[in-house]
Amino acid sequence: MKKSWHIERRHMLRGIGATVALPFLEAMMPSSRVLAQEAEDVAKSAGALGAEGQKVRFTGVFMPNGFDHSRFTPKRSNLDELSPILSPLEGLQDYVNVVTNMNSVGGHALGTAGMLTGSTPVKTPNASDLDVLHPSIDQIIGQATKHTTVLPSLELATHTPRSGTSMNGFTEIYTSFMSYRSANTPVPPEIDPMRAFDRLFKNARLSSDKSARKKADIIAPNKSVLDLVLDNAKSLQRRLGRSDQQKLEEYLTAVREIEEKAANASANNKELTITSEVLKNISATRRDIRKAYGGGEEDNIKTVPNLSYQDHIRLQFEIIALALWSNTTRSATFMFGDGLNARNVSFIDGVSGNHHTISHHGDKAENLEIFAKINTFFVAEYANFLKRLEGMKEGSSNVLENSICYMSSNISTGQSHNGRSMPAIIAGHAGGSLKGNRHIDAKGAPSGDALRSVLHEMKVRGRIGEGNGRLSGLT
Amino acid sequence: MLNHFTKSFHKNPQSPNPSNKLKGLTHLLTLLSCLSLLTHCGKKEETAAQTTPILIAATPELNVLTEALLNGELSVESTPEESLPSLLKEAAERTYVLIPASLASDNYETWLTELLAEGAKPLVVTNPSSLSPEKTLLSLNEITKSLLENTSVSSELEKQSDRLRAEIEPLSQRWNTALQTLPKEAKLYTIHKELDPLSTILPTEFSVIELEALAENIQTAKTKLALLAHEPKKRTTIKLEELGLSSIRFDAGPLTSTSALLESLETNTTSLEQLAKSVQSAFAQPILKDFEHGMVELIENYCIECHDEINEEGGVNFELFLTESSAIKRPEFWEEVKAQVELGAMPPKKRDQLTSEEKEFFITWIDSLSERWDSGEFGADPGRTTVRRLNKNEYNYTIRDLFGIKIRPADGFPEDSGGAAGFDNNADALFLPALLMENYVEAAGHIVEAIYANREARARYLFKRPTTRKSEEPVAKTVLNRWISLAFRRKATPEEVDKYTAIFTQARTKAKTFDDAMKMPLLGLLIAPDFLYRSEVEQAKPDAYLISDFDLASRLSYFLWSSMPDPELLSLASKGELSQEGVLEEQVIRMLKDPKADSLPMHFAGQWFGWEELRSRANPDKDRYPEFTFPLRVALYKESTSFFQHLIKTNASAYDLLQSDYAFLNEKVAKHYGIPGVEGPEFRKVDLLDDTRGGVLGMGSVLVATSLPLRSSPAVRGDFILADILGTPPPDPPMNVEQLPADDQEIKNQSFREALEAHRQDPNCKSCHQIIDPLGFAMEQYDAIGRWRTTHNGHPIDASGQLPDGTAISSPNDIRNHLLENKDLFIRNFTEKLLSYALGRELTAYDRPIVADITQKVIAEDGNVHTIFIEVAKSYPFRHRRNDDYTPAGAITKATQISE
Repeated sequence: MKKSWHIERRHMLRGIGATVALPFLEAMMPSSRVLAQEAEDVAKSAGALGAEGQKVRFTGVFMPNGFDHSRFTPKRSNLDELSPILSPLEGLQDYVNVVTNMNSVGGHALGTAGMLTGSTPVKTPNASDLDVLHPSIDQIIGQATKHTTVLPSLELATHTPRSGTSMNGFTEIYTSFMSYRSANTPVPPEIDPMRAFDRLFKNARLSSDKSARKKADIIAPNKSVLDLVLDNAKSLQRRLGRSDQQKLEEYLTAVREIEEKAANASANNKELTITSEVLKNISATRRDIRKAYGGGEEDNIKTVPNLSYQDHIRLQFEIIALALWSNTTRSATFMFGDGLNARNVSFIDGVSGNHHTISHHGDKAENLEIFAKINTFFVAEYANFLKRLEGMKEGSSNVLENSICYMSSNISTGQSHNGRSMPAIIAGHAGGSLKGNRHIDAKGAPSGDALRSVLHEMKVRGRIGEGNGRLSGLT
Repeated sequence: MLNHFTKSFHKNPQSPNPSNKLKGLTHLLTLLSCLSLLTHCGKKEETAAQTTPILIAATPELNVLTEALLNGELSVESTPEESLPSLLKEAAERTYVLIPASLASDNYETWLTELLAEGAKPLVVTNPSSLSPEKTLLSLNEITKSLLENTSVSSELEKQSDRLRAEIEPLSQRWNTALQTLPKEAKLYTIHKELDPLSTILPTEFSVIELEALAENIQTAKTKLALLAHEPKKRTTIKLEELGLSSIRFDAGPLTSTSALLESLETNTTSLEQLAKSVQSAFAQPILKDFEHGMVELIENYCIECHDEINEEGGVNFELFLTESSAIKRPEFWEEVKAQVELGAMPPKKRDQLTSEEKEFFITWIDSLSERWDSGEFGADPGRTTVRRLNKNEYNYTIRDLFGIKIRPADGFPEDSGGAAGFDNNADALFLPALLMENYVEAAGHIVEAIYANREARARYLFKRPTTRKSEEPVAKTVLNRWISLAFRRKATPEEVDKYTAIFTQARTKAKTFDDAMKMPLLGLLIAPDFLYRSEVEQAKPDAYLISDFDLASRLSYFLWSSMPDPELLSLASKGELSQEGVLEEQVIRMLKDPKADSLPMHFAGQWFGWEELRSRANPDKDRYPEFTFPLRVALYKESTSFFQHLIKTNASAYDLLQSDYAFLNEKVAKHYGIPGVEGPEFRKVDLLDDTRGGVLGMGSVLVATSLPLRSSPAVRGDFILADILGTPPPDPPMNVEQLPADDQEIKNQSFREALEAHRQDPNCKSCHQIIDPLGFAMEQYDAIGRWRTTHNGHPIDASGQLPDGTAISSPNDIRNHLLENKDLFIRNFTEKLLSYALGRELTAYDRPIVADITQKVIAEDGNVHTIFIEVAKSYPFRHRRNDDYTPAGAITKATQISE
């Protein structure tokens, strides 16, 4: 396999330094070279690869409150003629598969937690009984491919989590999180683009950049410390009760992941694809983010970044795109908002109000028209993201060619609150094996079928979702 | 018939003796009852002409006289043998009959019945105690004579009888009423004798009815009565023995006078009334043990079709609760069901509705279940909080207090989610994902650098310095011993000290100085689970146990300060004095007065009342509300925290949250509210001069949090008042409900209110909205950013409405006054919220008696804020914990269970 871009990258990286992502790990574990070699060996065939050996990457996108089907559903079985809501995808049809009529769980809370699992979460108002039955697809893919990249997964969003119980008596944790590491542990997303960016690209600068990074001066724990705290956790587990085991298991997993990431520290350079082109884009985005934030407000009580909704969405998508392009991760997710999304969307032309309220359209024509405008906005943002991926060259293809992206919702169409007739917009050629320009009517098949198709494309094994086949017509 | 009479007399020519007297009395009483019954439900045609029967009084003398008469010892007008009977017969025919205290005649009743049937009227004869036997005899003669002659003597007697009749009449009526109140299913039989069903109720053979037995056995009786009531309608009678009532006694004293007799009658009537009442209420009240008969039938008829396992409409599945043992565990579930049924929201209008008796039964069952839980009948359980990660705020404050540096590293951590009660310190809702662990590692590095960069903090950390290279390790040990204890909030173990010292030693081989090498163990402390998590000592006991003093110190400090214990708490804990009652109360008060208690107005009250939302989610539209600037947002937030802080600092009444004649304002907020005369940026207490503000409902922060970006929302505000202030949330709305436009400027020709009301004409919506909307409408004078207004979109605001109990309200002040009438609900809600916050877990049914108890105490102290905090800190769940294998019904004392 020709890896011409690899060679180019290595030259660049020598100027940058050992670690790009997770800069605080730089000081850790030089002695884990052995681990790194092992990881490299294991990683060789994890996950699907494109024609030139590019790693196929997954992105999951959550849009709350569903669609106006009359303006969404394509009339034919191809996408030559795009419906009004899908019109932003003009020019991308070749990469896109629109699936309609899937059966999913539905509901603001359960539907959100179930979008990437394809299963119905256990119905409970209590955090203590939280249970989505198994990990979500992004985490399955992430864990399977983590040795071939830096971060197992990347989760971004724009909302702070809700507290308490939803209107139908389910824990708001379901409404807030769609990524689940295990049946009982959600993965909270990073909502601050500045922090998300720094986590991945803080030290990534062009070698000609005079404001080159300072040497890492914050201290990081060494292996002995990590061993000590792991030991501490295990003895706590022994001392405490059964119901505490899970919490401490989370701690153990999290610390081991840090070790793993540090172990990958030297190996990860071989996996990164940070060409000068990528670097230029990273630097531009860094400037973009700083600009979008503007000045910090005095006496800031806010726990969310001071960004407009559009900027927030755009920047998070950009960071995901860069993370994929640089192979910092192979599994990313983005939530436009939480499962309710009571966000003010009046900036959309012809819309006045908040997303959730408008989604209760009552099936009335004038309400549906406005609701459809909101749908179109979100599809447009997704389309921008896809175009961005298309524009990111790698070898003789691009990131979108070597990706599979999955956008769907928690509720089929606001008003109904159910998950029947659920659509999804799948994009990317998954390295060449997935055809585009199709409208596939799932005829009531469970959304788990579509997720299984995604796993198939990613060449990752895992159990997911209700039902047990793949979505016919897709793969 | 008279022959019977004669015969009876002849049969028992005994002289009167006490037992006979008693028997006789009883007979008479029975007679009375029979008479009344007969009159009431007897052969109507024959007795139509009867007036209310009259009591027959027995006199010993009359007995004697009668016997004498019969024995021929007396004469009247004709010979006793022949003429007395006919005399009497004649008397009988003339509607008077003398009924002496004849004794022990089996046919007594029959004879009397027959007499009465023939139109005879019994005659009241008073006790002529002043008469000697001879005189009595004479009077008898006279009576008889006058009977025959119908003279004024008889009218005298008539008068007397009338008087008595008048006194007995009401008793008789009461008697009849009491009989009528008995459920038709319950006709009591006597144990020994089954009389004519019409004349049942009282035993004939018994001489005694025992009311005490009734009281003691009432539960059994109720159970059995209810069981029988719910059986298919085969049975129409119940035997007393089935009620578990073994004997019944009337209170019978010596009946020597009519007044005594009346009294006795009164007592007996009362007894009967009580008996009837008990029987009646026993039939009306559902018996908990009888869930499987009464409730299940109703659920199967009205609920299960839509709410079974398959359909599970609205997420409700009754199939989980069709046995008593499963049903009684979930009082909160039943309370939600009750809310739906009480409002008429369920069953839906197009389906069969419960009859009013069924509804009453249903609701009463649920209420009694709630009461039983509240009374602690099902046992005690202090609960068990899962090992709890420090949340963002707690992390920041703990670092502040541990090291004295002003860094806030957790500000960059992902936001924490929260539990069912809405607080982000719920142990189960606090996860530790990979991202957060990275943040902890990074933050730990920054913290170590910050400590070292700050001279005081560094000196505090390295409070002992080594003088020689050799002394370095022992010094490190001493330093680390203290800091492990502080960081882990308990005494360090020797093994821990050794391990951390080993980290130092290893680091020292590469580090240039002692100080440098001490960085690594410190780093370790900051990412150790004993620092990041609050764990408690798990004692190997099957019962619930008191937590250790150190654990109590941590619970207290994280409750009141969201931070680690201070030296005073730790010192008391190490001396084992913290759990002493007086000490605990003192500490709570000290801690509430400490500035660190500012965490409460921010994190407890902020999350409870919603001003926390100003920090994230609340976003009034910038174009519609350009006045809502960032500085105003901050100011409104601080208004609320200042107010709550004031309550805590001054130990004011919690009722000020409902209604207050003051607010905490600065210039910016005052301007926003249109209140003149407040200058400067500091917040200060301002007396309110009108009733447009006051309590939490007047606070801009709360008003913003209960609005949408483009308009105020009556539904959200109404729901907020019901759910978050009173703790009585309305039922959840049906899923596919259509909402009003998000922007109220779009409704052109109607006022917003008119549009809202038109929207809710659907009877399925109305049932719940009738309790939500009036509250919400009355709040409409506050716009979406909390300003006062009287018009909107050109229409004047119509804030009038009516609460379900009929109270008219038309302003926020009316709501505030209404809330003051519901202090008990508010305090109960406050207690639940505070207890959940203090314990870091969701409340269970076993916490109900605790909540009920604290609520009572707080109300007795007039809602005093310190009392709530103190009572929560002293409460059973706050002071105790138990292990996973605990069962509430009581201690499992098997020795084999201890261990592992």
